[in-house]
Amino acid sequence: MISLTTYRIVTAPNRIITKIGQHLQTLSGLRERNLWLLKENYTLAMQLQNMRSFPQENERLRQLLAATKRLNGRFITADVINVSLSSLHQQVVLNRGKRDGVFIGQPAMDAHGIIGQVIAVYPKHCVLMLLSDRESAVPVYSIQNGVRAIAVGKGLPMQMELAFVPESAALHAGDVLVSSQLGGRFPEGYPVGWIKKIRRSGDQTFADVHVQPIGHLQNNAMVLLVWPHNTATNTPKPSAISETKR
Amino acid sequence: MKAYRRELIPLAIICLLVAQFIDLLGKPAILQLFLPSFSLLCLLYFILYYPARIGLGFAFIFGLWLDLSTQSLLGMHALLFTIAAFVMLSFNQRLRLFPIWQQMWVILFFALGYEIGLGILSGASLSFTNLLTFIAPALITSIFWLPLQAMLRKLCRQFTMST
Repeated sequence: MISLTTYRIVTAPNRIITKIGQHLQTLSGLRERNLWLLKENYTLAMQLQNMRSFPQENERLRQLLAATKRLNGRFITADVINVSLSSLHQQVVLNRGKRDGVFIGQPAMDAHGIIGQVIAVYPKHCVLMLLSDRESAVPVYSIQNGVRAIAVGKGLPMQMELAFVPESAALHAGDVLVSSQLGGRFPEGYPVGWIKKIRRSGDQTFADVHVQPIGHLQNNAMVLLVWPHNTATNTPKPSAISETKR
Repeated sequence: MKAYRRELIPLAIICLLVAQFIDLLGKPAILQLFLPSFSLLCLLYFILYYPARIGLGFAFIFGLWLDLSTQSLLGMHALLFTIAAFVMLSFNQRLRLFPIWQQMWVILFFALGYEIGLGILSGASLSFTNLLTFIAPALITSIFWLPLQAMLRKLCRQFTMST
């Protein structure tokens, strides 16, 4: 309660400036933006037509492979409250809390991929730990060749690395890493990052793999909180809790 | 003297709250590494120049308020601020006579201790890769002592001595 009031006071000038900016938009600017959005909508609708047949085809292929059925979870949007909690942690505050059904361990995404998980829930707000936080760890696999690894945050903005990857692992710079659902916390198959650089010294057991997160971790105004198991109030499984290093 | 007593504490509270709000303001992530801790600087200023009014209890309560309002580990800031206040109170007679550049060196040690203490208490590991996250804010904090000290001094004189 105290913290939320403080955050509201701190972000008030920013909100007022944004609102004034919104009111001062010119008519021509709005028309231009509307036209752009209309074009974008047409493009996306056209792409969607191609993709309509994909779920059935995907389901049939998964049945052929006897794989588990992937569930489409529900989600809500949340606004980022623009406050900096600590320079030592990569965390942001969201305006959704317990009353919206948010739970500890809930994955958060943006338009590009996974960006983090909820680590503290309060009645009207929650704290989101970004993937780049030092305590964050996400099980991933490479979509190029299926090599599994754990992507951990480095504690610096937009920086991650793969932990305990043998030097002989068939990973290359540019490989895209997606979440593997091991541990049951993050939904499977969503982009996490791509390999920026691999350093193999030859005399070490593990390679030094630098990962660039795909989601825009720092400059998001809005994020999606997802319920991967299609239930509004599910609590994380005990096995999932051990997924973070905390 | 009465006016001094009456007005200093509300002024200190307002200054510390403003400093806290500046610390909390949303900033780009990369900038966050290079910004000072205004709360610490402000508190150190008041303890250094007004030790009779602003002391250990004030530092502890302000730390507790910071913990509550930023949802950090309860008592983390309270402990660090109390230690900083204790050290500052022990040396404040000497520190007040130091030239400003020498005070900046002392503030650097305070800020470094504060950043490392925060890191240890919040569970961050001290490694070479994140050394920058400890040293950079401490250095910037000590540099900011120069304008902040001048500004607060002027402000305090205007509000407490003129009446």
